[in-house]
Amino acid sequence: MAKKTNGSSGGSSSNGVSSSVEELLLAAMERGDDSLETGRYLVTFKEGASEDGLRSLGTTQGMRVADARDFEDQAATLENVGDADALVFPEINVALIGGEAAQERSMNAQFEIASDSPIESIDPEYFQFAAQYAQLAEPTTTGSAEFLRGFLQATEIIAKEMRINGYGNGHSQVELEEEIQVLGATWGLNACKVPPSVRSGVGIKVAVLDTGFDLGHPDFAGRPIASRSFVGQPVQDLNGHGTHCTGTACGPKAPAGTTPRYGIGFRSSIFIGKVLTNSGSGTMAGVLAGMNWAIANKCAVISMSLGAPIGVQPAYTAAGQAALNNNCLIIAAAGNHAGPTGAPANSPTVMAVASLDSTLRPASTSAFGKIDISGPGVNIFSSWPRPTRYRTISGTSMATPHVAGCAALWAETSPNMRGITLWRKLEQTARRFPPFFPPYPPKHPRVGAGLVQAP
Amino acid sequence: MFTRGFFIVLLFQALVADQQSAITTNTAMSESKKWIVTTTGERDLDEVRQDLTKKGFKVEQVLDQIGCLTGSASEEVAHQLRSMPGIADVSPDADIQLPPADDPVTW
Repeated sequence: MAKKTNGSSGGSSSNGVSSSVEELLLAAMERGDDSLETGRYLVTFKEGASEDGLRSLGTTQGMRVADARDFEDQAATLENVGDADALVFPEINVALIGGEAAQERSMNAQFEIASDSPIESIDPEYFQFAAQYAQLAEPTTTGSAEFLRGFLQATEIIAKEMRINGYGNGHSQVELEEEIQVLGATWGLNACKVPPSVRSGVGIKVAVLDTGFDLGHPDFAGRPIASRSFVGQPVQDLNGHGTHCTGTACGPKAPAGTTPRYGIGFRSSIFIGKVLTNSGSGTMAGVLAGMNWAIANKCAVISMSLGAPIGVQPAYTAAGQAALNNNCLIIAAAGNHAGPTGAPANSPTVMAVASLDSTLRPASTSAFGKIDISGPGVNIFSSWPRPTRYRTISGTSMATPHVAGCAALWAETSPNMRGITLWRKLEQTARRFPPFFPPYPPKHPRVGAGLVQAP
Repeated sequence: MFTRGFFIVLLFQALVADQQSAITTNTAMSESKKWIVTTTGERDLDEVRQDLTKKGFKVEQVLDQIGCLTGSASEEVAHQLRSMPGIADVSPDADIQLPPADDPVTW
């Protein structure tokens, strides 16, 4: 993380010129600011006036000014401008002003610019996201069309399966109609028959061990959330992966506006164990500490969308056994390396999840071998840290919280539906589909027992 | 004369040998790695922790629910631990890394 520097006011600033993107995002979240503004300002100078502008910032405004030309090849890195209040880019006639320095001088979009000033305009700086983020931030018309297409494909496959299985009677028609009524949920939730389920996961503790969670996400307002970090960073998720996985397992029944339902255990108790940093990295020691915490808290369902492409780890196997002994169930992602199931999912005491697309085919990258069950894992729409809010991504990481969410619904059906009993129930009720029908010894190496189903 | 000279040579060799052994020990000590110790569950975890510490294992976490301990030690110490009563496994800690956040496919 970039070092914090002092602004001209002498205090440390969370929106200074040298603040990291993480610091800026955290500060924006603390402000409850959804405007996508970073809090800093961009001053554009009149053409050919950047030299005068540079001088005016220093002399008239009394700022400490850094110049991009002082860096090799003008590759100024913001972390290295020290305690400067402003950084000038003469090649493009622009200067970046720290939030505090701008505020002290009332420099904002409403700043009155004298006609003889070298300044052309003052505008707020905005966060920049990869094109994909912005495009997927809201369920757009295109997104909905894609989602509907995926849904139709899924129903076609299911219809075909019913005909193949000799279920081609009135029953199948009723089922299809039921599925059509539940439009307004993601394809993954529909495929798992979540919307028609009367269960909510109420009273069931679901632990998600991942990159943390956006604790202020509006879709989770009022939800009790227990959290703990094992990586020396705040639980607040600046990666997104953990917020996405938690959204699928525990998200709301009816998100605001036109957002489709994407969450399963909408009344479950959420336990967030941050075992991966904001850059998505971690160690087995940290992950084990998170598992230990989730078991100590008697979380009936422990969702782990993480792993490494390595052999069976005795410590993970021990943790999985300890979970089962304590009426908990660890559900882990097999991995997307198109190779043998990674750890911890490859442990015999941990339930391994493979990923399916909306046509119920295993994702080409989904790991194989020791697979116990499958879940929807391709083009999965779920929550993402603010200000993005929603995003569509793929992986066995996304399939896993579908299984975890359904496990929470099953756990609600009986206090005895825990541990190995819950595991067996999930496998017994999973939907078998072509070409992965039994007989195969006892589970298929690509899809396990089949597609997880809600009670 | 001969005896005294021989004695000096011996003393010199002993000194060199001592230094070399000190260097070897230092190298082993500096190559401290992170380990995950899995216990069999048959012994009290606190006793195991004390035994590990006595052997030179620097215990960082005692995970009571899952019967594991984490910490650091040299390869040699880790090797010795494997034959200790109550120890089921000693494995090196492993890194986990998700793909970058802007990657459309994750773990």
